[in-house]
Amino acid sequence: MKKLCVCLIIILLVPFAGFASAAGSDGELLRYAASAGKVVIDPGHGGFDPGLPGEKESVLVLAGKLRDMFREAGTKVALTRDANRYVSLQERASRVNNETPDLYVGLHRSRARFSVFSAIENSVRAESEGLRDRMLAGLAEAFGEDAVSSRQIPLYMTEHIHTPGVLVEIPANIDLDDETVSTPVIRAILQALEPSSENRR
Amino acid sequence: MRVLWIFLALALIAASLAAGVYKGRMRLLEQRTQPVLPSAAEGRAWETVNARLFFPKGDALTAEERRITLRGASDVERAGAVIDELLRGPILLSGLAEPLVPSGTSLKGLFIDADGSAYIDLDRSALSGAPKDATGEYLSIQGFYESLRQNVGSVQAVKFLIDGKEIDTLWGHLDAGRPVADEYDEE
Repeated sequence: MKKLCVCLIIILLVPFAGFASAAGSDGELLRYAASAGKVVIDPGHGGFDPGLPGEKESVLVLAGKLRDMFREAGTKVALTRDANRYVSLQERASRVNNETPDLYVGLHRSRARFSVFSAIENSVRAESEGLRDRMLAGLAEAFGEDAVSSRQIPLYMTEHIHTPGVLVEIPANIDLDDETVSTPVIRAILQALEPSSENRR
Repeated sequence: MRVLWIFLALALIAASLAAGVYKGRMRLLEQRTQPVLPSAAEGRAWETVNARLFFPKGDALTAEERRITLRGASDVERAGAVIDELLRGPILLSGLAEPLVPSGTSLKGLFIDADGSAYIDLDRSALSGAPKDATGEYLSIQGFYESLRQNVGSVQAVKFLIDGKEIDTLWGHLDAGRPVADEYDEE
């Protein structure tokens, strides 16, 4: 009888423990999100330009999650597209430059590995590279070194924006609907916003 | 007797199909051996040269040596022949090498300016087929650039047009609005 009671108590407590842990995790992510001033999130492709299979939809969903998190943390945030519509790269870059944010985050999917490409304009290059390196480190920590590529490619967005920022490519085989997978991705993106490594978990 | 008739009919159909396939392949082969710019090359001698062509394999480029036949030795003609070979895609021996653009893409025009920028005008089929991620797009552009740079002396950069028009980007990641050059050097 005593054992049964203990079992019942454990069964009842497990969901609460999980909830408490998730809430704690959210709190930590919000702290990271609050460290940014004003952010523009740029979900890639859209409309008649699908990108990789499922890319235009999944990056829009991820952008929405990040936007909600930034808003909750009191950070101003804008999206280059908030629906399934085509926005040219020229329009996206103009939008980012007109908004004059403190941070740009582009979201794409890749065939194989995580990549993070940093803005290259001289005035923002160093800051963007720091952001990129922290993000790559966070992704490597969560998904393993082999899952991350440090190759740099001159992308349209990273060449044309005048603000510190990165474009993140997430492997297409990562199921972003699965929170156990999407949360580490969001964590890696957000915790990179805090420059001090001591603040990182 | 009925079985024999059915067998004969099937044999006839199979023979017709085989003849059709053979004819089609021969026509394709004939098309492929046509010079890229026949009007400009008329009356000149045929020449066979070795070309080093680059195709994506994994997240890098792989080189493929190929003997190509061309008529006339101007850089535009040579570049046209190289691009024609690139559009055919990698041969089977290259293993897992991938084509730069979808099969069926055609070269609509080619121009090399005084600065050595090759303007490659492809038809819209180039944008169809399997979508690319940033690395795939980079490698496809790099495949054209590297193949031309290594086989055509005057080419220093490449710029793409689609159906004669300028474009922002080919597959949604890289800037196709300017000629690409040094940053695409194969390491």
